[in-house]
Amino acid sequence: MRLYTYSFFLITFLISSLGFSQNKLKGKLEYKVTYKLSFQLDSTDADSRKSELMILYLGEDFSKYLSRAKTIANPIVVQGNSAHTSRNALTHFHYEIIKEREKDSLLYLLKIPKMEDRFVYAESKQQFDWQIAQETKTIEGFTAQKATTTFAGREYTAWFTTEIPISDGPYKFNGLPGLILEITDTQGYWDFKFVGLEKLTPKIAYRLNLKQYEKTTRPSLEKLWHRYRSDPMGYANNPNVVGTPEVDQFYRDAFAEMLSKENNPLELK
Amino acid sequence: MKHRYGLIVLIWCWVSVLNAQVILTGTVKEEANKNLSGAILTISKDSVSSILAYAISKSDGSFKIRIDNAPEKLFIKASYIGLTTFKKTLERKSQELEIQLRPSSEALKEVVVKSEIIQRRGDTLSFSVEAFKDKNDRVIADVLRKMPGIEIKPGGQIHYQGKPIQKYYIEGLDLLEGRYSLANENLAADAVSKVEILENHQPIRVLDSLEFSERASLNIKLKNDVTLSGTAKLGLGATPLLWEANVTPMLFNKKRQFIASYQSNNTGKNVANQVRDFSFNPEGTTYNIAKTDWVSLLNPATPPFSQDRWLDNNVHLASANGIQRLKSDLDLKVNLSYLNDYQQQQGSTQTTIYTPQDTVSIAEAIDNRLFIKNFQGKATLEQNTKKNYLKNQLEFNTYRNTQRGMVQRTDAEIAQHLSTPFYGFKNNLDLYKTFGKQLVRFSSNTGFSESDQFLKVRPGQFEDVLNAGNPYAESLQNIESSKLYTDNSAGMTKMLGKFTTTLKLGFAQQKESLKSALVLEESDTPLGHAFQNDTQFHTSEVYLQQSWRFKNTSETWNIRLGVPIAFKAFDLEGNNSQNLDAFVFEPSAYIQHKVSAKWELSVSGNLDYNFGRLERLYPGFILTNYRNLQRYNAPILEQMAQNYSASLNYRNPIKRLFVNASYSYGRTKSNLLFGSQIDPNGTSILEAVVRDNYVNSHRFNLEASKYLSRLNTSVKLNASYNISEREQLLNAALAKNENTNFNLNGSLESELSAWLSLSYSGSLRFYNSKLNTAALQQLNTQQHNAEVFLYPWENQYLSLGGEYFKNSLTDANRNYFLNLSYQYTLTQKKIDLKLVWSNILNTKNFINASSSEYYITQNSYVLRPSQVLASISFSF
Repeated sequence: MRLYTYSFFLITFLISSLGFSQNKLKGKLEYKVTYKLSFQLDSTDADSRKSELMILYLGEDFSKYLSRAKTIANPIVVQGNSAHTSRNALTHFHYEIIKEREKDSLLYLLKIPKMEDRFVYAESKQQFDWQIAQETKTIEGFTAQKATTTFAGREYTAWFTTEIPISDGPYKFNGLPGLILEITDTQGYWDFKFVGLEKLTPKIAYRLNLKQYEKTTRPSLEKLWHRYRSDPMGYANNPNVVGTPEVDQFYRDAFAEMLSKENNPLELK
Repeated sequence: MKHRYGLIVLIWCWVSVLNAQVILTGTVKEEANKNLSGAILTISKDSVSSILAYAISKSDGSFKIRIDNAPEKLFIKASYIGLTTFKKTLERKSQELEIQLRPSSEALKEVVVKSEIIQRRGDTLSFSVEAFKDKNDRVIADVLRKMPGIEIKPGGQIHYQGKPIQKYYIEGLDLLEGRYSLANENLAADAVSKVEILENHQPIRVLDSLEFSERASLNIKLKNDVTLSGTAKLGLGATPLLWEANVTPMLFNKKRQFIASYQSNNTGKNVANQVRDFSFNPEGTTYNIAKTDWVSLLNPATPPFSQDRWLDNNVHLASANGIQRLKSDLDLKVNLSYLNDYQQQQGSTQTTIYTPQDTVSIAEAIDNRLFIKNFQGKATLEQNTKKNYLKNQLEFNTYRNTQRGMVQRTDAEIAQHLSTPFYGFKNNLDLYKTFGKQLVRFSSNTGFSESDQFLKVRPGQFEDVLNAGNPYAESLQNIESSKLYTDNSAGMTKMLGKFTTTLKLGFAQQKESLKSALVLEESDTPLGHAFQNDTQFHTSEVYLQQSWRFKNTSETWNIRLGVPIAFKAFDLEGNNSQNLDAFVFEPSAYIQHKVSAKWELSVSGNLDYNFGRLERLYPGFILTNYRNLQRYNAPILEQMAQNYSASLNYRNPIKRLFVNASYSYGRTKSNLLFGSQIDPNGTSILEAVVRDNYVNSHRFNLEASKYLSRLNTSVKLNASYNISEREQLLNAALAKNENTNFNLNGSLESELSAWLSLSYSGSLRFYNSKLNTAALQQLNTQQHNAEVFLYPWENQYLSLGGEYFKNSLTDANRNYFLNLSYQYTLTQKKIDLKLVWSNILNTKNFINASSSEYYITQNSYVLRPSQVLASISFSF
């Protein structure tokens, strides 16, 4: 009996340690870095330029990057319920990116809005071949040095500071000897600017249970996200519930038009 | 020579590279000799110049830096957040270093985010109507259903992200409450500038920041301060002469809004949908003024498809709605509506009743005429401030319904005439008040209703029981019933971390009375007490309801626990006078656990008590329809029901495969057994007998759906199996009854191309019934629907659908249907033309069979004939 119990635990442990070596992530977030991201989702229309605040939390063992809108949309903080949209709905960016200090991979987490579906994919942290230049400038009182790289079909110029000795940055960017304060692609479609740094007192406890996340890959998650965006209703109700076909036809057209205006994602490739 | 120089240059270069390339290796440690990963090591010429090379320490604290073209001196810096930076000037040579970083009290320099950057773009998610509007769109509903996340159900109810919306505001005013379809389906899209989606909307301002709302509301923003809008629609068709009319004018400004509507048709369209109430009532009320019909005509079961193909109506609906903002937070609303409908029902039924001794068959041809007159109204006063919430709603509902029916049987022709007028009033008061930090809700609900009904049957039935076996001309059943109730409660909700607890204390009183008499015309012997009722029924209860909810932060556990207790007292006065006091404890539990990303498990269980209502307590016989006499000369019904269920859910959105399996078990204990005495002519007498008895039921359900990307097709399958056992009293013999029911449904939805899509759905049902050990007739039914949709050009739309029904009792092969609908939009003149040809094959009857514990009924319903309707509609 005991043997069975032990082997059961052993097998469970082995299974859970396969692939994603760790299912739980736990720690404290110490600093909050705020970036202003301005972006142009429709490359053919300069007026489609928008901006949003993005947060990079720095913790002891990992960092977490997400939209500020998502940090506000905490269901326990329910102030502003009446006649207000929870700001959750207002973000273009529903994902979170976790970079663990001791790991070579980063995690991209996505929860489908209003649904319980959660997904994660892992990617190498070392996707950036940084070229450090000698130019320096001052950003918000920090001395920053220039570096360049290419990533997912775009060329970027970054400014990092060794005064914040952490090799991190917004989105997936990392690997410089200091925090990235600014990073912009050469066409200026995606532009991150440092606007704030705050020490969190008390530290924010953070806990992540990866068991609740379906492991997948970037291509299949992008496909799924596109499907969700093209028909959120269809996605939500076990995709087969359809309204009247004439309505569906209008519906599809409207979304096709909306999605055609989102032709310029950060990761082109 | 040249070569030699070249060689020298090369060697020199190589030597200098060797000199210039320096490799630094080593480890970085924390104070307690712990390896430090993520430390940043940079090399520069001196402390002020820019970086030449760098490394980040690995998880074991090790690092390796290669410096090409190294200068004479190397300045190394090792740093880590929260630790003192290590600085050292090194000679130009490869070496191994052991670096230890000590804690530092120095924090990073903070940079405060400038406030103007935080300014939001506005909190409301709004959609510009222009962006979604199409030239085909007339009314706001047409545009709404294209907006992301919004879906309008066939009945008109609006869903956002899969959940029904809470409020439908026009310029911030809630004119129509739950009956918003009237505005939604008639307000011209051109009059609207924006649709705002208020996510997580809490309409009651006192509850803001106390109670989280998961539901959304809509706010319609108009283009002009004062808007006059509306729609008009006119349709004509044949045969017979068909018409359809709808005129709905409306007037809006910021303080006063008004919508009126007149609608009429004889095409089978249910206009009542537009005044249907979709209000969300979080707590179901046990006490209300619902209309009870004590007597009825026998009618054939209605077909299971859209009623505009079988409903023979002639309806007129007028409605008027107004709202006036009296003060900034105080609104007065008045809603009135009047409906007049004349419906005809024709059909026939063939009923086979199985009793332990015998099998009884009845054939009836039915011809019913229903006259419906309904007048209802509501006046609402609502105050919605941050400190207080008050809503008082006074409502009345009246019916003047009469029905005439003719039943043809092989041996007789029976005329029936009934009247079921009804008057009801009720007042609902809700008051939310804060006491310190605690919010208390008071609610008071009081109502009164009265209904005096009669049923005349000619010639009189039940001669043996009523008239010593002699035929007689007419029986008249008279009924006077009334109800008065009040239900008052106070409650509060508290959030304690992850727990939410709700407490509610209340008391309720209800007084019902029923007087009835059965009179035989042309009969000398008056019927005795057995055919009269003078009953009064009082219900009093005091209740304390407490519930707990728990949800953990990662939302993997969701637990609900309810522990309501109540003390109930029932007092019946009359021929069957009796008392019953009961203390009830009705616990319920629901546990949901998300095991992993794909699997979810939930279990639930609850205990419920039911007590007899006046509808099942009268001791004297009532003729409820021409062949049914009913009485409950027995103690008050007491039922205890236990229900348990478990369900397992698999969800794989990437593969688009969804599976759900569930099982539920129910066991109900009753103190009464209801028994029917069935005569060979089909008349039945229902009585109750005191005897403990149980009903057990099991239900298994399996559902799966899969999307086949290559075929653009989704497939859905559903199988369910039910089994139930009960005791039955038929013609004074006790019988054990076992029913099994197996259903199999499948559907396909396919988008073959942008202009062509197909859909199919089919179902098979197998119904088996056993009385004691004898198997009764088995009933199988099947149903198939297929539809093709074509969009040949942008302003045209064509659909063709066919249906087929079959059951194992008949060989009726004419259960085929075909419908055609064609829509053409005149783009320039903003006019829609629509042509619908329904029932192309001119199928006369719909034949269907249904089955219950001990009988099988085969129904034939006369359908609307093949008809063509052309309609024109425009909005203003």
